[in-house]
Amino acid sequence: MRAAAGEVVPPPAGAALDEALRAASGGDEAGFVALYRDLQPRLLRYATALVGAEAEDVTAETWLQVARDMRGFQGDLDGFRGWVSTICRNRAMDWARTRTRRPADVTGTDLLAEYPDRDDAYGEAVEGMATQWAMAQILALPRTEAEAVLLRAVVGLDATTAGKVLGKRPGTVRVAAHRGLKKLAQTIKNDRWTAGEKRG
Amino acid sequence: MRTSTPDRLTSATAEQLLDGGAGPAGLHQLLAAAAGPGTAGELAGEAAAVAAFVDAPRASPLPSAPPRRQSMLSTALSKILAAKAVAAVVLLAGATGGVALAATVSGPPSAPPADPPAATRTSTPTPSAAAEDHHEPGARGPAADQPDATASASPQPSLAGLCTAWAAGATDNPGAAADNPAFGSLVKAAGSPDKVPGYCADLAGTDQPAQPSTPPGQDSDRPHGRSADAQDGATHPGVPPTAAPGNPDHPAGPPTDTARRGGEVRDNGTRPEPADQGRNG
Repeated sequence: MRAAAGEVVPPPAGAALDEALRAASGGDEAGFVALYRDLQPRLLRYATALVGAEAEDVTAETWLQVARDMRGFQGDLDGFRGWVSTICRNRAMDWARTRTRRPADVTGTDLLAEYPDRDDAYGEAVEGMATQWAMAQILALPRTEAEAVLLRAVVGLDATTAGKVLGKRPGTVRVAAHRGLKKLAQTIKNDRWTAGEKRG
Repeated sequence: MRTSTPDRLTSATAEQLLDGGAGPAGLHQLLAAAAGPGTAGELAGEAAAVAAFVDAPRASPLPSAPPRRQSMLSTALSKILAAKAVAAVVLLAGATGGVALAATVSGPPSAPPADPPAATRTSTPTPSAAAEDHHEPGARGPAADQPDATASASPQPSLAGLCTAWAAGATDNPGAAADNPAFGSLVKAAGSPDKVPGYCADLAGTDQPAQPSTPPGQDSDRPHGRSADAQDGATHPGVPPTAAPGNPDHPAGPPTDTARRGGEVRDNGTRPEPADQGRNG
């Protein structure tokens, strides 16, 4: 589904994942593994926006529930991702309620790919931005905007499914995501200016 | 620092970007990087998740599938049995006639269904037996003992406790103790509020005959209530009014007067005063 995004494509392609979903819902272990490897990294990044450093525990709980209820799952890949994201969000809310810890803790990106420092990462940003740097920019957004951007662009949900996960209307999610993107564009522009010679 | 943004982000472009499509290079790269492939650290929970997945499906289909097969088997067996029975009936019908047919038809069809009722019969007795088993340790053991215990032992302690409470309340404010519904059972057992002290004395006597507790000792010290009151009035002039609340104001008045009168000669005059009181009253 995101195969059009030329530069960085997750290893399992859309068609293979559809097949994996079909197999996993029938109880096939390999299918489940393929789904996990495709979704877990991006789910973890989304959960980081919700509970920060607790994201790993939250996604672990999420997958336990998914593994338990996976058999007989009816729906397509978008539906599956939406379902898993909903479970993940609920688990994250549970954690936030019990721990009363401030979400969006940037230290939660420890598990992300190791890349050079922020300034150096910017130097390579023209060719391909580091995952960690990109995530840091998204996590710096207001919570609702960060959630919308992550669900849409990182987890890979459409506006309707993302709205279901968030319990909001698709239009609301769209507005939040667009605001987030505009702020990200501004960040990139400012970063470009500050990284080069400072002007005006 | 304010920089103009020549490439304004239209909502269409934003949607395109969010779907992983083309857009401003910087934004597109940022989103693509954020959605980049996972690292080993991010996939650390794979083994646990897969183990849960492998365990989960075996737990759910097992209870549902085998019973169906068993039921299918049992129905097939019963069909075969019924078919054999019908065949036997047909053979018999040819030989013996309608009466035998009616008898055998009523027999075999009822026989296969007789299995489930038999199963329910055997199963229902076992729950009841199990229930009896559950009851036996509870009801026949301690519960059977408990009725005896509650019938004989428990009322007495509670009444004895009420008696002590009554005695404590009676000295503080006797009217409140009589009105208190908490003493209802005690009053009922004694017959009337007036008889409560006597009932409690009997209760204490039967319950603890060997214990020479202070209340019985006081009772033995003052066998006659009036004289005891008089003695108390002699030693403490202020007390008698509260000790004899039902009496008219006569006892209350004179002692205080005598106390005032004999204030200076208290040590000497305490003995004669009750005598005066007795004469006046």
